[in-house]
Amino acid sequence: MTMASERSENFPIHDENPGPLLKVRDLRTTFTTPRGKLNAVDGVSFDLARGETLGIVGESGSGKTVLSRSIMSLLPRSGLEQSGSIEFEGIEMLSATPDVLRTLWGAKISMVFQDPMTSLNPVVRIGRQITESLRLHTGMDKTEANAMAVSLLTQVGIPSPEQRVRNYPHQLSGGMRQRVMIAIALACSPRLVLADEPTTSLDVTVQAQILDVLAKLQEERHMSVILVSHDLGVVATRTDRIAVMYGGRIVEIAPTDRLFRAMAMPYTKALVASTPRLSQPSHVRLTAIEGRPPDLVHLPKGCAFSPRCSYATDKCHSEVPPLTASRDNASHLFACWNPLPSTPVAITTTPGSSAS
Amino acid sequence: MSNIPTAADSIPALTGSSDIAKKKRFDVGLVFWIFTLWIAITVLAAIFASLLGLQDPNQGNYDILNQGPTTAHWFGTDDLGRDIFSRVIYGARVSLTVGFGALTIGMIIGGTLGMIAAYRRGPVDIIVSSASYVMLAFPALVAVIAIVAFWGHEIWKITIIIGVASIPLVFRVVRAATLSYATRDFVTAAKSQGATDWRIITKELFPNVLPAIISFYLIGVASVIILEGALAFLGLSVQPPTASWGNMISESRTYLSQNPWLVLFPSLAMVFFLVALNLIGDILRSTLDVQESQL
Amino acid sequence: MTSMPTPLLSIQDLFVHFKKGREVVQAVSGVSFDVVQGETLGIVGESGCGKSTTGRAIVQIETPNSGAVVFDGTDLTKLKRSQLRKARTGIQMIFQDPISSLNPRRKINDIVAEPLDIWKSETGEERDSTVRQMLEAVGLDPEITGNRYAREFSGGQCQRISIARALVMRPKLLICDEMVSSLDVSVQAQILNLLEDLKARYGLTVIFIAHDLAVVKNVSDRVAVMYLGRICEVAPSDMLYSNPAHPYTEALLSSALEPDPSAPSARILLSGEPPSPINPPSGCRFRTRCPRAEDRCAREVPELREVGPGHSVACHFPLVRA
Repeated sequence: MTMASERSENFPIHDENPGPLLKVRDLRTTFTTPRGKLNAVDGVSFDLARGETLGIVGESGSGKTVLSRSIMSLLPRSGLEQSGSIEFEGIEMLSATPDVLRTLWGAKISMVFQDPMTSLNPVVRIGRQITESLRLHTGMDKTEANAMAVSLLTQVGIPSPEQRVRNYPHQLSGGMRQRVMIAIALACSPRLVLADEPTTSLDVTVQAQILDVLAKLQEERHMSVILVSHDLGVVATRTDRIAVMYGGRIVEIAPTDRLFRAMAMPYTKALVASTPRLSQPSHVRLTAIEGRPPDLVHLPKGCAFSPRCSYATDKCHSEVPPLTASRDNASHLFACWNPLPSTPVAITTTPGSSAS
Repeated sequence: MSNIPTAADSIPALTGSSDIAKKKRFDVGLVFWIFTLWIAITVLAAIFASLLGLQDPNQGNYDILNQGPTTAHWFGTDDLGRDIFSRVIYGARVSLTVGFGALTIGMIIGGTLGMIAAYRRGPVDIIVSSASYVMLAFPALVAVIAIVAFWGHEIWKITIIIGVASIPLVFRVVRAATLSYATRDFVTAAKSQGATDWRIITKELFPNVLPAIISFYLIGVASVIILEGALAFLGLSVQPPTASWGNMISESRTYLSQNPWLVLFPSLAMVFFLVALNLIGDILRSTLDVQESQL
Repeated sequence: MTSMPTPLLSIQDLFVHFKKGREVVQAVSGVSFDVVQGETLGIVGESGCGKSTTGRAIVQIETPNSGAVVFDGTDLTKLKRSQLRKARTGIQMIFQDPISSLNPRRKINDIVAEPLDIWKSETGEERDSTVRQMLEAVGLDPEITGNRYAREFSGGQCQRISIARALVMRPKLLICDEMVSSLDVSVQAQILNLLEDLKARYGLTVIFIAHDLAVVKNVSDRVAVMYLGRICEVAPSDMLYSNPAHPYTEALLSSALEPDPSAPSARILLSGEPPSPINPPSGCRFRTRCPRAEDRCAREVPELREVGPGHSVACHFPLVRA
């Protein structure tokens, strides 16, 4: 408790601005490749509220990773074309100069990557990797920054942090390295953390620990988090809202509970159905989705999922369905010409759970 | 388990991959073919020099000493009145024999050892690798000079000596290239199917290492041609009057101010040939690497 | 299942240690289990638990330091190199990485036919028709697939090709090492279904190694849980998942994330990470993270003992349910 109050002194929560933290409007990101134009993100729009956790789920080639890098403005410039708008705290990211971006990165927006081994500098002690951005963005002196680094390592659950700051990345285990990555990302108390598959390279028992650390710190600091994952399990219990991506577009977005209770898009349902569950008995035949994720260079006409969809009609094969709100819930949007009837799908719901 | 679907969840053909299939075609550009053509012309000219109706490269003519290019003598004549054009082509024979010959020896021995060492690892690797380090630690040029001076200047001796000297270098390159494939699962799969070591090396590893071998071979040949030139400069290559690019340049030193043609043409022949070899090696490697990375 | 007569495969007290620099990695330390004809045994565990090494040691790709691998009545560890070549064609492996599994410079037809070519067991025509049948059996069109290279296929298709190659010699035992973990969920389901179909069609016995508990449960009749080179618990899969007796199994199950927001959140969280197999803890290797550990756990190595029909656990203080 005392620790929490100390922290809020260090990181004043400034929520005077009530609008959304991040506004993405009709974002399109394409790359020129030898095979042709690759439409990685194809008209994505969403808002992210302050303190909200948004999960972005999709298979390979769904555009989820490019979307998160677009928000950071971290994509390599060559062959890149972007249109639309990404507004972060009133700053237009797409037209921001490198100087402006540098004041945002680490300080206001930061990122946790999938592989901590390649995103940490192997020849720099982890203490210095944390203090570097602290001193750059907050102007702390060396002793202050060192004390803060130790405090951050404590917060992410690293035992004996005073010793650990002097370690190199290779002296830590995979889970510890990912904790260090989170400490670095949170060092300057950013408003938005983009976590791109933060637990994919970790073991099951460690994965849960890392997600808990992230969730705890988010709540304490009232940050917004975008959690990108291919794994529905990772986002199901840790998010307020979930956006499902397919073929570079958001095909369904809804508050987490609502999504699992009343999924409208056949792809979302098929994705859930094809995931094996612990609660199912052995040898249950999985409902596989035929075919494979689309090629972003040659997206199918109409709805990108239509070639694999068992509900597809002629209209699905020719016209792209717009992202529209559900009749009974304005916060539930989906892009489908033949949405599933909004009867609750067979999922056990506990009475206590409610949308945020 | 009663429901065994016939063609089960069979996938709808190969949508999306057909364009990759078209791309795989060997796309190297015009430059590559121009340089390949140049190398082919040089090699063919060297092989069939005697059928080209050239003037005798060693037949002097004291009436036409140190002439510039004329219609009779395209590249001019040298200090003994010999035809430079003819000597450049006959000289290519020596330079190319040494270059390709030595590298072929190096590739056969060093390449085989490299693949075996990378595949088998363990004691075999340790012994051969250590031997290669010992050889590499010895200054190759000095060793070659010493042995040539001691053993003789015949073209086949020079070829063997340089060939043997190139073995440890080839070994290291091929070993490194093989190593990245030797641990892949398809090698393990072949092993578990009962493939013999020899079959794994020739059928699974060799085709994958081949691009690296070819590009290193070409660049290696270029280096050996330069080495032959250096030996000639020290008077240790084939002996006059036999021409090689190296000793033509070497002999022309003293006439540089009177007859620049004498040094120009063999140098140009050598430079063009070496540039072509290096470029082709480079283009081949990057093209084949791209194909690999498309995986 | 335990009443079944002679097992197809019997692993007895298997040890696999290898040198890493100056240290010795104790990858597998005393693993024993049987696999009977026609069953699927799942092996789960986190990275470094030795599950993959166990799989590779069965095929003798990793040489065991001691122990026996009795397959179909023959101890593979006692065979000479030349005898082993033939004997191990009865066991085939499928690997995790679909790209690394297929030679990028060979055509699919030749990749699938390779085992036939090695053993020259079929004439040219027979060979071609066998390859065609195998490709069809894994759901690929032989006309389109055969003359292409692996790079032209997606991960799921590459895994199908790997399966075709593994089955072409009609092995009795198939070892699948994380075969679906690099695939997308929707494709993963296709491959798991395919595996079930092929198992029935060819009467295969399968060892399915994976880190994903739900995937293992889906395909397995029995499941073995490994931790730091030893087996903690073996049981028929439904029993193991509903009544885990080893504290590690329980923790592993409760940290699995289900695609269901209402899944119970009261989870048993393990602290820390598995220790290194270079210098494993004494006694029970799980004791450093175990909530139930006592002094005895540091002194004595718990032996695998039966706590129910077909249900064995290696723990001094198993979770016994009423």
